[in-house]
Amino acid sequence: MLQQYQVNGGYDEMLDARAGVRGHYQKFHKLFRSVSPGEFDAKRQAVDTAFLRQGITFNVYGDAAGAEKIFPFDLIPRIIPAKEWEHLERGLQQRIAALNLFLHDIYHEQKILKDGVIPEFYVLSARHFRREFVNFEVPKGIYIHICGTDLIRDKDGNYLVLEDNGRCPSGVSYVLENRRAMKRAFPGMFEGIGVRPVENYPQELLKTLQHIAPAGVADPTVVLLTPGVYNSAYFEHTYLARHMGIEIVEGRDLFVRDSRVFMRTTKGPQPVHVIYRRLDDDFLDPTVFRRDSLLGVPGLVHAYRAGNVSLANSIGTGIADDKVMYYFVPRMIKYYLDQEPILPNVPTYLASEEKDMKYIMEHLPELVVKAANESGGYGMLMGPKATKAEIEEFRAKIIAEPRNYIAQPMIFLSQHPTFCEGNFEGRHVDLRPFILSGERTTIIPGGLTRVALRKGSLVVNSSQGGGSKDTWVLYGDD
Amino acid sequence: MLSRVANSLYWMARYIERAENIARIVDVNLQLLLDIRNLDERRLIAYWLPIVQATGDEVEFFKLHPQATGLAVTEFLVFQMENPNSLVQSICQGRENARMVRDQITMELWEELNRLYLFVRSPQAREVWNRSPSDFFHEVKASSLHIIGIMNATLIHNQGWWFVQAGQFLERADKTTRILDVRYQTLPERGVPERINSDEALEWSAVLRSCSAWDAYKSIHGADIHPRRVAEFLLLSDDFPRSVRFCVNELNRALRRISGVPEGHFTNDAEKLTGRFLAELQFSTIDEIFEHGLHRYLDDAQGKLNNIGGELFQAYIFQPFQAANEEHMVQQEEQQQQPGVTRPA
Amino acid sequence: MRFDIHHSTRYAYTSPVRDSFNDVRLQPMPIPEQVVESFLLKVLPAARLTHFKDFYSNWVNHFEILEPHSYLVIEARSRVSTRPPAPLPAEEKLCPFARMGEATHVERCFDYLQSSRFVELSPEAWKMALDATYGQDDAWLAALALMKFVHGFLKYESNSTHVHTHMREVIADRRGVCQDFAHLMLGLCRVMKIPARYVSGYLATESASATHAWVEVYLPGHGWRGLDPTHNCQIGETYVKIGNGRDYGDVSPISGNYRGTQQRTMEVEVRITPVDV
Repeated sequence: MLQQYQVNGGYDEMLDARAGVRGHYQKFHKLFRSVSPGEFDAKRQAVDTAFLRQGITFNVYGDAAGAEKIFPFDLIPRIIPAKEWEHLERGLQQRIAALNLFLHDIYHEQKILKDGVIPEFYVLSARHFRREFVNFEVPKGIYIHICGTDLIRDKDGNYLVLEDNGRCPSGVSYVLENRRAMKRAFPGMFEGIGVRPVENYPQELLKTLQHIAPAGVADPTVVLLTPGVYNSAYFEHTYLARHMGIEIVEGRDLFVRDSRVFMRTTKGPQPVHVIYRRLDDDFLDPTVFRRDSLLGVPGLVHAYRAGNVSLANSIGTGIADDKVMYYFVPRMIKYYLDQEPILPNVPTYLASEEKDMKYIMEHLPELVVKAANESGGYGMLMGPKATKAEIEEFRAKIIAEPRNYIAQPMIFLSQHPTFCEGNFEGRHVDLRPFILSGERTTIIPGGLTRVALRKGSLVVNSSQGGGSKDTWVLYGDD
Repeated sequence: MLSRVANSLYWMARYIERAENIARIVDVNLQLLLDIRNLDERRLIAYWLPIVQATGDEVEFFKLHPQATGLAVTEFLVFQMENPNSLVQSICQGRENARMVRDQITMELWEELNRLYLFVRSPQAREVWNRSPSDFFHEVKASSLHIIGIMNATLIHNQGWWFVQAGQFLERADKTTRILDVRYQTLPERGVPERINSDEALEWSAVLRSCSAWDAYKSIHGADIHPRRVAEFLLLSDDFPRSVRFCVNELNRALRRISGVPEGHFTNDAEKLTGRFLAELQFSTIDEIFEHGLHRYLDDAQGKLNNIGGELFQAYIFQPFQAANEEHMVQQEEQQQQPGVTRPA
Repeated sequence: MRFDIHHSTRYAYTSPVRDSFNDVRLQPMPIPEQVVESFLLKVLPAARLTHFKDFYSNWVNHFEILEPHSYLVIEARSRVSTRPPAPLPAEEKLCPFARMGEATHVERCFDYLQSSRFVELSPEAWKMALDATYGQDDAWLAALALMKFVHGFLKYESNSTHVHTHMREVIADRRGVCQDFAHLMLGLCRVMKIPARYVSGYLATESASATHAWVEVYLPGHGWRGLDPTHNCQIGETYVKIGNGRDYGDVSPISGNYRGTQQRTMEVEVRITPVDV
């Protein structure tokens, strides 16, 4: 069935335009050849039904029906050979180390600002720089425990970092469920090909959470704090909590007494030591952040400050998500680690910098413009695909608030054969590995490969027509 | 387990049980109407009003309907959303509680409950009702039994399941007392009537049918209907699953499994009250109850069950626990700054 | 001078409230210009106090009262010796505007040059400031001019504003209390690129009944200098500083949350007594 597949420009994950199927796809390609169209169809249906019945869904914000949608899954896996993965691993480890050092620094002595490596303006004006958190001591000095860093490949097949997500990165539940689905659909393939397992993620995550428990607690109680059933990632919250064997709680299940956190159980108040919070800083504690938040726990920040409870991720990591701070990450790597970045950034222009602003204004129709603190593909302009009106609208926004915009050239993302309405066609993909920082840095092999299902679309987010694939990291190189 | 989750499971079970009971009461009494001769308006009202009173919503009913006609009563008890205890409302509330703890219940349970919810709120439900109320009730009862079956067969019998049991049996005990109480006006205040006429016999058989107890009763007493036997069966039978004694026994068991305390001891007031009530049911005779007055006894029983529910809440849920919307977090008044008025030279 | 300061705040609730979490900023700041000899904070109902330093170096005392209570009393007593620096000459050019660029390297100055919750760097403020400092090329003299301007522009009137009055309302109504005088001056200084921060503290006069608010401006070479727009004067020995921040929002003496009724009354008592040295 893959015989008719053709590469249409750019870098294709599976096919090299001249040499044919790439080395690490050979085994899969061969095995896949023996699957008939009817069989394939049956497998697809089975997977979709299974996902629907299990409720592997997400809620789409702004969708009128508030409906739950299945996150579309494409059966053709994205495969990464060992050597390539090791390169990515090294780059990601380097990057998270620098980010954690950066966060510790700006919430303490701010040496990187004093040495002029990053203009103070950008940090102090960042929406997510939490002044309330300065001089806080965090367990083991780790700020970002769970990070989802988005990687893309350019036309020449080079991996670039697109952005870091250091607040509440989501998607790992899809990684785990996709793998299960693939095992059911293609049971024979895994043995033959040698794919690194991902099933131990919940255990690794739990170990990471336990690692940061307050000192002196022998058997820490870990909980997952969720905003509740209406949150778009609620499925993932319950999934992870269940697989880690921890309680899932909402703000109203917790209370703070004497700077300690307790949860309300049928056996009375039980102490809580570590909170894996899937709640933004703003909503965490109505006595410190947003006063109107009903999702948080009054007094939680104070308990955190007293060292009686640990939070993952820590407060104030949002500044690492800031797309403007992203621009400075290569400088952070040099400053804190005295190394060159292993994984480069996408070339980026800062609207606040005069020279860059001039460039942006002149080349706006060619550029991708992003708002510093939006996610999910919102607040973004795709210059080459936008109308004149949209471009002018964005121009005005950038001029009004330059601090909040960056621009990048539009990268022609790598493509991957994807089953679309009866044929296999190339669709753009990215990769989100999940990086755990506990006692060691652990990266789940592969991560979430997101695919833009709409033809020609470069937007892979679930809320905007994206889907996903299973990601296979091989033990070897083929 | 989290108090909030225990609370939701408990109330989910209570609301489902409540809906099923309403289905049964109204179904049986509607059918009975067809059997009674000589049905004038006065008799109709006398017939339906006790049923409304039995569900405890008399005041609410008369706010919404001027007269207790059959149509008004069935509308009120079954469909009316303004009645917080109507069948449809109970199903809505049950589903809402289940939704809050959806990740704690199995997919099958959620799907069936959701299906029932969608059905009773759909236009089809009205069509079925208009065509044949009996079919409508059959649908509700079948679904509710299915739900109970799923709960028993697929939920892990952990603490959460015991809260479900507690909710179910407490509600069932309460509803049985109310069903039994429907015909109290035909009884003397104290003591047992000697004989009853055929109309009354029909009414008492309807009481049995409302509890799905007709066949079981017949197997013991034959077709001989007498309020004394009916009351004895529904109150004190130790092996009929809807009798008050049976339900309180199950409730007692559930409470003990929740706290882990053995028989003969108690760790909270809910257990204490339940144990006492159970002992009373185990060691009373029906004649003693009639001497006291059936209606008064049933009233007391409802009060006791109510207290048990309250104590259950106090013991496991309240601590102090707030529903999200109950009271606002209010910002402390901040002090405005004022200087002294006189200015320094 | 030396002062004993007694500051007492009493809240009474019409029905018991609970889950009260509060941050108190009443502890005078230990700075070269004053010696804090003692500070004592008492809370009723009794609660354990913890403390920390916030981003602006203010000492914050924190307490929680979870049980239902119908009143809350917060009492602060301190003894402070003030030793302010000599006032700067009011006619001399001390800091040309050209030097103000040095201020950006001073810690936290960034925040004192931006809009904040109650202070807006609006075109209106800009125009007002330019008019008030017309012809000035010295930042110090400009700051004095702005202080004088605010003093004359606004009428001091108790109870004319409330605790969350924004600077733009103050401009529109042209009256307020010292908090509002300070906010306006902050806005005007900041549009002129003079770092300015809000200061909360006490002014020891016979009729002091609450805390007082004034402004500190930063001048390279001279550091932070206190100016009181309510009285159009430089800070002297009768001023005791508690804390500073971007505006009132960062230094409110008592801020917190509780669960319960909105019906409450608040009584404040401040007594400042000079003590023999």
